Amino acid sequence: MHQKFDELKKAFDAALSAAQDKDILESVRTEFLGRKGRLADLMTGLKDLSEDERRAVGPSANEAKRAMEEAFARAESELRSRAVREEEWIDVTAPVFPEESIGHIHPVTLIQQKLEDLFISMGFMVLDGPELESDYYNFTALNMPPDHPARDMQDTFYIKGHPDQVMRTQTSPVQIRAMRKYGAPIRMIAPGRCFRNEATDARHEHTFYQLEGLVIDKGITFSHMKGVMEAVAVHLFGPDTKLRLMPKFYPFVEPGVRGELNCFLCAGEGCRVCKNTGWLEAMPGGMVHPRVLEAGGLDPNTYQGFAFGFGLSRLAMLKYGIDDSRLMQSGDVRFLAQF
Amino acid sequence: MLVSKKWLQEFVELPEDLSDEELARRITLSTVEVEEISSQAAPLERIVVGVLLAVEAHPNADKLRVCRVDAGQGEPLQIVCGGTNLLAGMKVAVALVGARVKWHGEGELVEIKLTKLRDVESFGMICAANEIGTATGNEGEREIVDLSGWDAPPGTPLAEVLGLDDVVFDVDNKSLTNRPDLFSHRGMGREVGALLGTTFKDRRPPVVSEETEYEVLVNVTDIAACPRYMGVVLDGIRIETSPEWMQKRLRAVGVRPVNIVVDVTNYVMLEIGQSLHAFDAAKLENVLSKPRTIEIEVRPAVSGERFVTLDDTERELGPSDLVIRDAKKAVALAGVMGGHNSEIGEETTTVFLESANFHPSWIRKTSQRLGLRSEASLRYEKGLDPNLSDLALRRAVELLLELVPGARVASPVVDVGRFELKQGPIPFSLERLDQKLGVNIPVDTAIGILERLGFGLKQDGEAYLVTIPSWRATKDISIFEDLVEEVARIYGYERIPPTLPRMDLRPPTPDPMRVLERRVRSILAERFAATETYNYSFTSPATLAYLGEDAARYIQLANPISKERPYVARTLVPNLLENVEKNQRQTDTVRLFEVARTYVPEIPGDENGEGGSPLPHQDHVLGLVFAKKGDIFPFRELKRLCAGALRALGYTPTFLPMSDLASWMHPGRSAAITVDGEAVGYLAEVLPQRATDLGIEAKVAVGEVNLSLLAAFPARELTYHPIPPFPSVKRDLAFVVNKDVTYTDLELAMHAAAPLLVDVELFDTYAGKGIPEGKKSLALHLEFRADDQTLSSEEVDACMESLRQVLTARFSATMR
Repeated sequence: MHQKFDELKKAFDAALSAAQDKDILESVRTEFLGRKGRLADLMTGLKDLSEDERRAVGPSANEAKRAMEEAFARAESELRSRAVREEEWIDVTAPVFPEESIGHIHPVTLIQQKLEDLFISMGFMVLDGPELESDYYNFTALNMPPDHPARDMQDTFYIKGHPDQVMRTQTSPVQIRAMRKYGAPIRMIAPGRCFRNEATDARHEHTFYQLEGLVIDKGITFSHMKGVMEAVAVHLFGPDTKLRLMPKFYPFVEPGVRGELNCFLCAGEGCRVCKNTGWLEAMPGGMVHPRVLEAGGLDPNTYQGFAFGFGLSRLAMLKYGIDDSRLMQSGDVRFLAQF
Repeated sequence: MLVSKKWLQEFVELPEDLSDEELARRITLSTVEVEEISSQAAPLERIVVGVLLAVEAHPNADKLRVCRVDAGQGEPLQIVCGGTNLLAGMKVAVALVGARVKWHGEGELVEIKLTKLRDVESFGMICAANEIGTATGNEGEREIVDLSGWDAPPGTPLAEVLGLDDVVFDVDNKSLTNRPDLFSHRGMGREVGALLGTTFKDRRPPVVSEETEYEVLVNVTDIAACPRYMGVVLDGIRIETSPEWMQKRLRAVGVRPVNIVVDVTNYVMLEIGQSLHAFDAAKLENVLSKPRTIEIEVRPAVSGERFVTLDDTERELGPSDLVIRDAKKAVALAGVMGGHNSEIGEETTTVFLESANFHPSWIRKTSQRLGLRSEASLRYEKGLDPNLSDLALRRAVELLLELVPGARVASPVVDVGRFELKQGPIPFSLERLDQKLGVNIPVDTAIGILERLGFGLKQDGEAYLVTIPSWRATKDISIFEDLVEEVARIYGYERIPPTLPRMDLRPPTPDPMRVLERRVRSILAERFAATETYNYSFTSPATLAYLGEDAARYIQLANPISKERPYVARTLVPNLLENVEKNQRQTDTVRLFEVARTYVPEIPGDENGEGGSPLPHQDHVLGLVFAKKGDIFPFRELKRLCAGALRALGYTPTFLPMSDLASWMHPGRSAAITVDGEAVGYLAEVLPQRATDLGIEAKVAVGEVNLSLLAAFPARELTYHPIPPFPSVKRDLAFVVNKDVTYTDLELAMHAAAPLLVDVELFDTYAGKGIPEGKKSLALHLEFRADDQTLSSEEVDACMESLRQVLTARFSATMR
């Protein structure tokens, strides 16, 4: 009897592995597992055995039945999933049309936002001011009275019929507006669009973007200015960034400095971008001139502070390797879509 | 400005072990930027003296010669050369293989390589004058330099022969704006002495011993414009070339030698920083033609006066230009350029030498107005120390007497004017210095720095009274902070430690407009796949004309870069449309946005700071544009974008047919955008003809949302509403109405008629076949719900009936 069950199991296994489609599988089921199938026959045969024999054969008969049913279910499910695969196969590598398009933020905005986040985290307000500015705020209040030679340093767009109005040449007028509005102490930045009347080429743009910073309180020192400028440089360009300050004349600060960073492109070795000096001019700044504090309504005997700036356009060009400043305002989607 | 190291060394000791690079670095770190160091010898590297041993015909070329040259390289070299004046025995300049030469004096440097010219090998090049920088302009074409007169054996480096052993520092003029004292070797010498702690070797030329042969009368009409006018007559002048050493100096710093008189004035200017002018005294006229009398007047020009400057250009002058006149005519444009009519020439024998001081703003204005910048104006603009006039005049006389045989002083030294310098004193204390810098600088160090820079110090209790030297008193130094800079920069900014300020832990007040701008950008780019563009704030008249915009309503620049874009944008539309035109050939879909200002002159904006009329109004505006090849209804996509963005910002926008149309707007496809009933912007398709005029091939929709207006409305506050406890019932409704019935009107009427209607969604609009002319079919999904019960079918039927009634009665709708 044992042998019969073994033989049946073997025959079943052979038939099952040969069954490659649904119909054959069904005939295997009928032949072996059906109500009148071969397993049922053998099981019926058990009735004719003696009590002892039945007890001896019974468990292994049941085991064989369970194993056959299980094997069949497995084969059936395999066949089903193979069929689904064949019927419903798709090329998952193919693109989906229309592809979901993604938008793009202008590179200068990206840099500006990165810097705004840094300064906000340090407690700076982010402020704004008019781009078409009065001569007073753009020059006079910044210690550049009419006839001041420093006005020549900044080729200025003037407004027809309004000699007292200019397209602002710098974001610095926001300093004065902010001091007047918020008083001291103050920590602020003012990012924005500026204008200089110069012919455009790959390195010069008459429209460009700056970010201006101002910190005023009692006891703010040159050393603090250096500390903040360095913190910003490190945040932007990494922990190995070095800052060096050199004297530079700006009428609205005294002392005035220009800050240079070791060139991150060549790590100070000297390259085309840093003109082989290993240093990049990146941050002008200085201690706010007493006359500027006065124009802002603050007492220079009580308060002192520093201001600094970055060229956002320049930083964006450096960071993304943009080699032509005219691209910024080109509106060319082939450029804009890279950011 | 170019600074010669040799010249500098006449005024200051430079330590032996100080490299040129280190000197440049020290100057850059503490004073002004040195942009370049150039060794005069460097460009002549591997160029040596050679002797032509033989000159033979070239087998394959008529115009070439094959030379055998002893260039001190052991074996003679074979060099092929096209020079026309080659003779055996001649000494020439030979560029050996590896030298870098400017071919024919033009273009980039080219490295000399071993080469074959018409099949004959050539081991170098024989140079022409313009290839080694000694051209005088008198050389013939294809003529090489003849060095036969020089006593130098073959192989001697050319730099040595020519005495080109100087090093020249190029200092950035722009970083010198506030330092007129540094526009000279003497001034730079003093500064470098202070920097290095080495001695400044000043030189005081002798006082001029005056004569009375000539009389000089000077009248200055405006002392403020010309605080000092000095002059003297020199006779017995013979116009020759200046000595070689002087020419070398001048050439080293980029000044072309002319003749002894002109060269001396230039030399003194470069040495002392004071500009001088030499007139041919014979060409100066006086009233009665009296002999030996010079009559000079310094006064503003007459309006429309014409004057030919030394550069042979006739210029029209006006009352803002200061001129030097003799009794009859203008002879110089004061502080800018001399005149053609009194120029030193070959025949000059008597010279009137002027050494004057002019007010910077007069010079600046004239120089700017005429676009005429000279070495003189460059210096006067910065504000020169009037004391220099005397020093420079003495130095020039000293040089001329020394270098021109027979030259003699022939008049008294005239000195007219009045000036007063504000030389302080400024109270100065170490305590305040430390408070400014955040570092303790030892008192001896600080005092030492100021003294070396020429400041006078007088102890005043704990503090000092500091007197400003005259050469720093014209503009540069006037307040305590200026002294702080002097001490700090020489002490070294690198020695001041960086520290972070301690401030109150106060969160920054956000600027709502900045916040809004930032959100708009990220929503449009990240959710609506739009691309941010930046456009100029300036607009072109052509584009305005194509759009039918009235240019008179635009602010105009007084001095635009080009005539192309003189108008200041009062709308972002023109430039956005230009973006579409530019991009249409590269891309099928243009979906751009811009956040920028618009400038509206008739609405007052921010105050101008000193009580004048306010600035033009400058709103923050979001501009949007959409065009897609083949899309005949771009308005729809732009509205999706705009409405979506506004909803994401927390506003509920309404789009209404627009009544006040700009002339470029499509009358059937323009919508005003309102929020809480107030207009905040518009969307419009561009009239097809206007778009075509602009060169745009596709249909294009464009719009603006005024963010400044929008910011005034409260955005939706996020509040939780309980999830409705009872289910809603959905029904569809389709009907036909006149084409011009607006959806907004329908929706409002439906909500009014059936309060249980909670949502309406338009899922189909159709006009055309099967629908009568002038009509359209609309199909809606409707959702009904009550808050207190599940609606029965009868109740919803009743709602539907009220809707049908109101649609039929108010909109003559036909149900389908």
